[in-house]
Amino acid sequence: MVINMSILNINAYELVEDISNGSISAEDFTARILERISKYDKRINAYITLNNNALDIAREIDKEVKSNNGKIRSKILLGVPIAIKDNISTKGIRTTCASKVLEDYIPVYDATVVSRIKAHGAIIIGKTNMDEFGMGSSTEFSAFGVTRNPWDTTRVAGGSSGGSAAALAASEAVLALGSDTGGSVRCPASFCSVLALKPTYGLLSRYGLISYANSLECVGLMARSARDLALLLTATAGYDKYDDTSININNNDYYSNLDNINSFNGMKAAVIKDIVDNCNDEVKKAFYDSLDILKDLGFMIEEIHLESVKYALPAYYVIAMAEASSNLARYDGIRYGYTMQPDGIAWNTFYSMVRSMFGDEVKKRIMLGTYILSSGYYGKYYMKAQIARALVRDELLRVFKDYSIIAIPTMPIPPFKIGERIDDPLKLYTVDMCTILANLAGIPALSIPCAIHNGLPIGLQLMAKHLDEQLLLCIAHAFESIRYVKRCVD
Amino acid sequence: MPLDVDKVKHLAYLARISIDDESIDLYAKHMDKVIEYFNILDEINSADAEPYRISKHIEEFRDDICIINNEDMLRIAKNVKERFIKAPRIV
Amino acid sequence: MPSSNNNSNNERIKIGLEIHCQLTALKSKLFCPCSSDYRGKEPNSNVCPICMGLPGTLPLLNKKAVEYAIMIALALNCSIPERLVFYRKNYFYPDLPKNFQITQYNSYEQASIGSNGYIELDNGDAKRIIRIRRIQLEEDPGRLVYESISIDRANYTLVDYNRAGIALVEIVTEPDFNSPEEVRVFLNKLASILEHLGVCNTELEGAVRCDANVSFADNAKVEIKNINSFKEVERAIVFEITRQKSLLARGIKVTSETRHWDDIRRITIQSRAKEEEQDYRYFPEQDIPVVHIADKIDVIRAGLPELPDEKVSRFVREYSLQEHTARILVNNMHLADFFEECVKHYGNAREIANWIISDLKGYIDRDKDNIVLTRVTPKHIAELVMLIDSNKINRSMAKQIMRIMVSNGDMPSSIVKNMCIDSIASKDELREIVKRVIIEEEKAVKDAMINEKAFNYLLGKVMRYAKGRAEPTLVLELLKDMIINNK
Repeated sequence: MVINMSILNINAYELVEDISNGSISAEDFTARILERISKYDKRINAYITLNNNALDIAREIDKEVKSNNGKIRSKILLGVPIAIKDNISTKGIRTTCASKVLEDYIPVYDATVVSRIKAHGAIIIGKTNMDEFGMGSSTEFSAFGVTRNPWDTTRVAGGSSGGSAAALAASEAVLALGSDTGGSVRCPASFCSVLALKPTYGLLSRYGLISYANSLECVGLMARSARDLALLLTATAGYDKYDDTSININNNDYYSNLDNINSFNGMKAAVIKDIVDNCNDEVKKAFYDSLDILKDLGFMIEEIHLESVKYALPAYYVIAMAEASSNLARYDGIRYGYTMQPDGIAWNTFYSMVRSMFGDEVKKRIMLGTYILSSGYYGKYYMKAQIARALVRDELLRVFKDYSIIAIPTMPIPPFKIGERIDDPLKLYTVDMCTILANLAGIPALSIPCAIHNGLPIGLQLMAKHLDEQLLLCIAHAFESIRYVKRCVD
Repeated sequence: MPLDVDKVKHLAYLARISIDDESIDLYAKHMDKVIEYFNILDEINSADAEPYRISKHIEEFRDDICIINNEDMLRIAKNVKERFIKAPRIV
Repeated sequence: MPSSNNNSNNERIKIGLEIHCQLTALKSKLFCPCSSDYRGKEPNSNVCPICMGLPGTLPLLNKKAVEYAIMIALALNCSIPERLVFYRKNYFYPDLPKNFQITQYNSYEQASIGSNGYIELDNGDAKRIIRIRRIQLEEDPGRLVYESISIDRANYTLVDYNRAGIALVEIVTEPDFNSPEEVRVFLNKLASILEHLGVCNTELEGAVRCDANVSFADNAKVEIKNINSFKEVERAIVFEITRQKSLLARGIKVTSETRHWDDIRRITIQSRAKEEEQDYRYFPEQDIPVVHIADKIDVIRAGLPELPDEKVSRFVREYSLQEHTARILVNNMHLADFFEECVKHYGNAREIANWIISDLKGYIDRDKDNIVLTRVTPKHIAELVMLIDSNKINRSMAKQIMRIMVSNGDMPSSIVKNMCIDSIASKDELREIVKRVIIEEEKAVKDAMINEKAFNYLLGKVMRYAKGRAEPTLVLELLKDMIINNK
């Protein structure tokens, strides 16, 4: 078989077909991916851990294909190498959340999304780098080093799912799972020129997603085409009895109907002026160009103003930090994770010593969260933030009564230089201004590459009302047939 | 009220996190800046909206069925004595 | 909701209780499918990723636990909200797998399962009301075990998470108790209510825990923790009141503090750990949606089992029992059921009740191995009373038969046959025996005509010849008749 680098850039849906009909060997393809990683990953540091069993699983898949049993027809991710963000629990494969505190933690169970993709025949290639516990927007806050943007290795890959995005852009995986609390799949997708979907809160099970801010976060999906995203969503979506916040929805097929909505004539798209105005000029230009494409597809574009937008970012961080301070309390070294001999040490000292292994950003957010929830401050911060959140949500839902989608840039800036924003917390937090709206409201949001300017990727973000993923995927599919922006670096 | 070093030390204790003395000042500065930023929420009136919560009917929750877990949870604990987990002393 | 009719008490004792009851009738824990039966299992064998707080796990609310908690709230006359909310209570401790406890909290909204309820106590004539402030659902932490006897000398702690996540209902009363005795009566009633609801077996080890707040003569309030059974509560409170009284008698102020009940030495001791003021940073548990229960409440109310007070009223009504008798039966649910079974076989309810309470209960109370009720069935008691009513045996014979029945489980009728305890002598048979005694005991008969007391001697003789198979009153009647009237 001819070794062609470009074959690594294949779409998942094409790969599944080729593996299912025997024209590509899963084992060969996986071996190519692993070879690519071994040669290239030191440049970008996308992976923390590789799966030792990947080739064995691939081999089994080839056997299954040869045996020609009917089962493989139902496996829609057959043989697809997939990268999984390291805050998603994978049985038997080290899961660190990019933290020293979980440096050698090996889970005894699979997250539900992991069981589902495995059942569909996907091959877990490895666990990808991230900001520690999901706290960050650049993958600079990792105990395992920074992940560099494959498009320009002096710049960040975005975060917190930077490793997953970089792996896709560098042909080190075909699909990827991430998580999205305030933009954590959309941001790196925008910076690395790949696609990402943050689904409706509750559509994908959170069982096995290691919590940072549990009322805001979802498992996020990443791919190099809209059809691939749709495939991945179909494989992972649906009710899970191991997650009480899971929505009671089953058996949705998101990829068979991608071409159905051929024309979006008559649909209206809203543009939030308050947000676009705060983006930098390159981003604005790319964004308005994209709006032209939406118009070509049949959309009517209108600018709107949202009152509650100015409260969105502070509300988001108040809620996220408060929840983080509680969700990360369990890391005390007693039942798992980094620890020390307890003999003779007083318990408060023991806890403090173990938890000193958190990185600075995590420590700050935990302490801020502790402050926000502490006696006397609950009404001032947390309660007000929840009300602000309700205002944002209500306002967005009102928008969707008149508009099918909201379109804004994914990020207000192109990928920035490593180290540029790390010393000023607010400078870093404000890059989330476009993405947090969807998390506050629980609505689905998709980022699609819309331009590469001066070699740096820029993403377009589309949001829709609850459970309207199909619409977003159809638009993305139509968009990329008109404007296809390069996904992979060479 | 600015977030001073003493307050940070207290928060560090509440959260059982130890910070070395060299870093405390920087932490206090950063954290204070962030809290300042949050104060915009003061403009919000408690009566403006009801916090949204997901809700479900009681029937949608888990039935009272016992399932035995066969995985040994002690596998991932490092300090174990005769099947008890060894923790530091309380007093 | 009735206000507490506080009888003015010149001792001015005020006691409030905080009771934790495990919902032992559940099959699984509150937030995971692990077994609720953790007793006697190897350490850390009744656990799973969820109750161990492993990263990425989420709580799964047990809907039956909610149902049971609603039943308790209804039985305690609480008002129940339309929807339940769970909160996190954040603090660090080795027995807490997540370093927060999922519980309920009412400061920001009415979140908990019941509030503003009451239990009515019968203290003779006066009916006392003890108000229930609130009832909430929460999870039990794990258990800490210390290597050495003295906690001070232990170099480390051992933790067993088998109990972590067990469903608890916390019941908090207002400080309406005026005496330790009232507390005992209350706890007996609460245990009986829980037993009748079938949600908590209070006899199981560790199934109930109680904290008590005690203050005396308007002095500082002392909290007593670590009382591990209902039986110990009265004892602990009595000790504490005595301790406070003796302090005050020596002119020493009582400090507001937390003390632990040491059930071996039977004293309260100052809490070892410095009681820091805890900031629990309560906020809503976002992993559990708000639970809508409005339409369930009426359904559950309609299906509630008969509660103790209702049963007492019914016993009085249906079986014409004295209230006092009914209460004794109802207080022990098995005895009450047993009684009703007996009455199904034979209708003399009052006699049956009396024999159960005055005789059978004694054997049952002393029966450590629970064998008595495997031998003595409702049919046994029913037959016994039937035999008495038809004059086939007298009371003293019945007592003997009971003793034999309890030891071998034979039916009364067969005991009567086998032990040659023949049925009671007929009047004619008795007449012949009396005649015989009168002839034999000339002297006694002469005495009897002058001295009433001599009749007893003759009575004894007749009873001996009759081998006890006679009603003493009837024999006396015959003796007097023959001696005084006939001759």
